[in-house]
Amino acid sequence: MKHLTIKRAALWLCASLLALTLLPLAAQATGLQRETVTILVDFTTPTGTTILGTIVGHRIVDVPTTTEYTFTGTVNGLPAHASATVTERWADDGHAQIEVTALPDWQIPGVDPTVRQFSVVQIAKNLITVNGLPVAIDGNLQAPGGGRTTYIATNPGRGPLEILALPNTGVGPAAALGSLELVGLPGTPTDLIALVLAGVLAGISGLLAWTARPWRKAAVHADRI
Amino acid sequence: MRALPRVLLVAGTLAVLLAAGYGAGLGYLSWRESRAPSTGAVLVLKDGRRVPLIQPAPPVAPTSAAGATPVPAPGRAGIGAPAPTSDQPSAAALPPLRVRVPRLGLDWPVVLSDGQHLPRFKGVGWLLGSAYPGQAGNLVLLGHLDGPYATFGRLHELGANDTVAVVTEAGVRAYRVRTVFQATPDDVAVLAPTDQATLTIITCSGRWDPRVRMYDHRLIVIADLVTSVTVR
Repeated sequence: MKHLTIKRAALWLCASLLALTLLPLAAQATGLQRETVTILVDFTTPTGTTILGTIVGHRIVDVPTTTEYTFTGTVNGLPAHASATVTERWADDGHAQIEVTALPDWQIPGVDPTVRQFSVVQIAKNLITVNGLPVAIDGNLQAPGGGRTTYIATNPGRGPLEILALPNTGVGPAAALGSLELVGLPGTPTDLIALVLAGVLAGISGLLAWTARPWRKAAVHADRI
Repeated sequence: MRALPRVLLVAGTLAVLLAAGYGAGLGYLSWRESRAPSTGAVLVLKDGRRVPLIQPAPPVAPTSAAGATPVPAPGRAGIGAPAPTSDQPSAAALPPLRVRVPRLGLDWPVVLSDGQHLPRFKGVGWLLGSAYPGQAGNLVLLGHLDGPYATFGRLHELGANDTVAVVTEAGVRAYRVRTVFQATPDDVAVLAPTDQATLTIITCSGRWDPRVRMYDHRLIVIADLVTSVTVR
């Protein structure tokens, strides 16, 4: 009896150790899959606003999928940042309903986040619509957990970008006139002189206009009386 | 009341025309995107050859090296080889957030750039279509030499074996400088994809030409990945 008890205890111990060993694997198997998706956005609106940046989404793949998206980039070259929590409901690859549930951070000048529901539909290879608006993407959308985690999104119909020269990354020795560049004006000495002359002319014009105003004449007239 | 049928007819006709126009527009865009994807980018080399910077993603995982026949080119591993597809599954495809050059004390934010639109603040552009940090391929960073947005004014001080760190959300990727040289603005081959994890940093250099309002050369720094991921 005593021998049997020890044998049972040993078996129980072995079983327990085995269970402990397998526990993490079991948890991983039943746990929700996490993935990070990156979308590179290069979009120009009809009004000429250029939105360039990356959207990084941390997904908890489930039905529905909950994702924390962060946008980091530029709007017309100026820094922009935003983050949002969204719920993604995917019917299949290429068909999703996305709802923005929280916008904890929104620092995108000129873009108002009024729309909170998005319907994303892949209508052809390299082309999707977002709430009916066509957007070019590289390839096909995949539902969360499908394996694809990087995308590029841009304006459709413009064709591939042709790069003929390396980017111009200088403004010249007149860079000391940096303040002009900051407001989008050229920064050469000639341009500065032209700007100063224009300012002087504008000042003289304003002065003349001010002295010619009727109330001014009336005041002068009153002084004479 | 007598005008109601006419109003309905006009409204219906307009709705049908709008729907038909929208459908035709989407049809045209579908056709256009299937032939010439707008997400693609092509390098036009000095000799006229065209090298894809971004290869459009196939609908399914490719089973063979589909695409154009490789064209061998000297001096650049990526030219002629199929460009890396942008949808290769990867757990570490995270964009660069900052670039650091410890020896020069540089530490700048990095944002996406298409080469035509560079940051209008003290930031560095990550060329759209170039590689992700730490991954195989050519990661290209662009920075201003001078002016109010100057970030790489001291880049010429870099030399072989200097370290450049690229920070992502996951950690830091360290690159070691292999070479620093000047190139002409039309030498776009430096942007071409590479087989190994490479970092290419570009800024202006040479003589300022006021007529065309640009420098006549570009400073190119090529660095190789030395460590994969160092978690911060």
